[in-house]
Amino acid sequence: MTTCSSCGGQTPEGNFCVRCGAPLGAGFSVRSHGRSQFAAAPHEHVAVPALVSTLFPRLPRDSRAGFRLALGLGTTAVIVLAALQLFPVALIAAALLFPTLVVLYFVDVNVYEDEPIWVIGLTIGWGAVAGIGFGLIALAVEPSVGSVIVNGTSQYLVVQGLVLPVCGFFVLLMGPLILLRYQRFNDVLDGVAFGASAAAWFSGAQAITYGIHLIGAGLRPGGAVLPWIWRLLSLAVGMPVLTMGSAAAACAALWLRYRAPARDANALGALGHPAVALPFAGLLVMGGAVGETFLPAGGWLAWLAAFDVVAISLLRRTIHVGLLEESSGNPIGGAFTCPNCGHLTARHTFCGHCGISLQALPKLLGLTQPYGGETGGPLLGPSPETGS
Amino acid sequence: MSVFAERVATRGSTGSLGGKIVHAFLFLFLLLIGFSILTTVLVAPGTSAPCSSGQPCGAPPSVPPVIRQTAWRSSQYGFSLDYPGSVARVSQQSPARLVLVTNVGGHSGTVAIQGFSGGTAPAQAIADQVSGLKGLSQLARDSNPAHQLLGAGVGYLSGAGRAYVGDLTSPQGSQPASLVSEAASDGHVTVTATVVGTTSESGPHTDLYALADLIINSVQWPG
Repeated sequence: MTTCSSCGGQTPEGNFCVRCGAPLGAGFSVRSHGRSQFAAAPHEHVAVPALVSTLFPRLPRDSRAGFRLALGLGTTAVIVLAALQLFPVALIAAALLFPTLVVLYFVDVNVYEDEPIWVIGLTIGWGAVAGIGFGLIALAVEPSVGSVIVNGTSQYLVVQGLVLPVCGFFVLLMGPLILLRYQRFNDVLDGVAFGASAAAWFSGAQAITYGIHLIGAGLRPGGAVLPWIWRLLSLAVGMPVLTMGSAAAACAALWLRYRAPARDANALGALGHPAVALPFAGLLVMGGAVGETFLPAGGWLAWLAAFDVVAISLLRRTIHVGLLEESSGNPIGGAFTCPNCGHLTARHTFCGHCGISLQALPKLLGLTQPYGGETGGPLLGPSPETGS
Repeated sequence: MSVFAERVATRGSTGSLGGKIVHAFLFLFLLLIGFSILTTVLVAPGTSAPCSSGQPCGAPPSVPPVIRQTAWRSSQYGFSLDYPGSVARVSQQSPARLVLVTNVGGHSGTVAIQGFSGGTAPAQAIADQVSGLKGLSQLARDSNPAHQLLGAGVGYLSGAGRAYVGDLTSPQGSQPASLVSEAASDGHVTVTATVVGTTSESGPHTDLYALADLIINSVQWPG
């Protein structure tokens, strides 16, 4: 056993403190969230805006590779369908790319905790219904063809570019917010999963609803291929990632403040406070959407990519700090094999070898609830909370 | 170094899908693509046989009742035209250009008439006018034979005609739009007429195209 220079607790010797996740090497004495290894994927730097490990943080390392491949294959399929000028099919594929990944994620890591129906209803179901509703509203309030031809896409600026995106964003958050009051969904990654899934289905359902006339125009309605590819990539990846990242960051801030047992709810600073995090997330979505009204198709994709980096970085930082601030006063448990790195480690809050938060592992492993059953174990001494 | 570091176990996927994530994704995604192809084919409009130039082709289009004809004249090029003020209103005009916004039975569209100098070939005038239109994305020539213009002209002078498809795009998604453009020249002035509508509300047998024909045929050449 050794004493962690960050939290002062007793921890088995290794690379990381199993209590606070701080590196045990010499020279690290600040709060554990100051470490550079991302708490949900320690082999990645916290500052790198990696898509899969941020939007799907509970995935074990091997599953992440599968999700990256699936995302790549799905994106390639959208491009190939567009190149074949099957634009309506490509639009549906683009709209359903992230929703499909979300469903697989939920199944793979068992986010529902044995109560799937109403959780699906309040996340995926609510996101889809809200997306259809806002797609219909967008169709109903769209400017006439004449005014668009005469005045250009600036006609979409106020309603489609500013009002609908921000209103849609806050409406889609209402489903996950209902889950905030349930104690069993009590860690920051629950909020991330609920926000991201509702947002993915919102974006997909809205794109399909708004494009319903395209679907009715035949298999190959015609159009310029390259602008179509840029546009479909915006609808498949750019906009969903922005909406998912922003919604998940907003939910993470709410969960961190009101649900997760964080040592320091203010550790994220102003952006961790819901009063700041929610409006900021709404502004991100609005800022990304409004670019469409004054940029060409390729320009909008680049614009969205810039906003995606901001949203993913914000979410990644929120997850990182949230996981490293989740406290546990429980004693250290027995040894088990870390599913992320494959090394034996003591059961508490973090893997002592790779530093991953056990909260960031699939729930079906039963490792995500704070340990409290055993006292001591091989090579372990008494915890500071229980005294010696 | 961890005291556990030497007791390395085999690392493996621990999600409930195990190593089958890509298989599950491909199965679901291909299923969705197949379903969307089926849906698109089922709801696609019926294919109409291309018409032959100079031959009867279906019933004549319905024409909206003309309640009040309004005249407009280009002060720069001297050509003039009439449009029914009850279903079309001026949205934009200049000495060489008139843009009408039409609304027939709740379906909106746009008819843009523009003059060019006589040295401009009709095909070039079409290209110039179409490239100057705002708000359309993914614009390309319509390759559907049934949508091609036969006997294109303006003011009963033969000329050139082109059909295009494009999209009206917003942050929420895309709406397909159809665009046809005709141009003719009397040697002194070239006049183009371009009609734009959403694909679901435009086509050879729609009120928009019938109204546009009325306006295009009403063009009076100068002199």
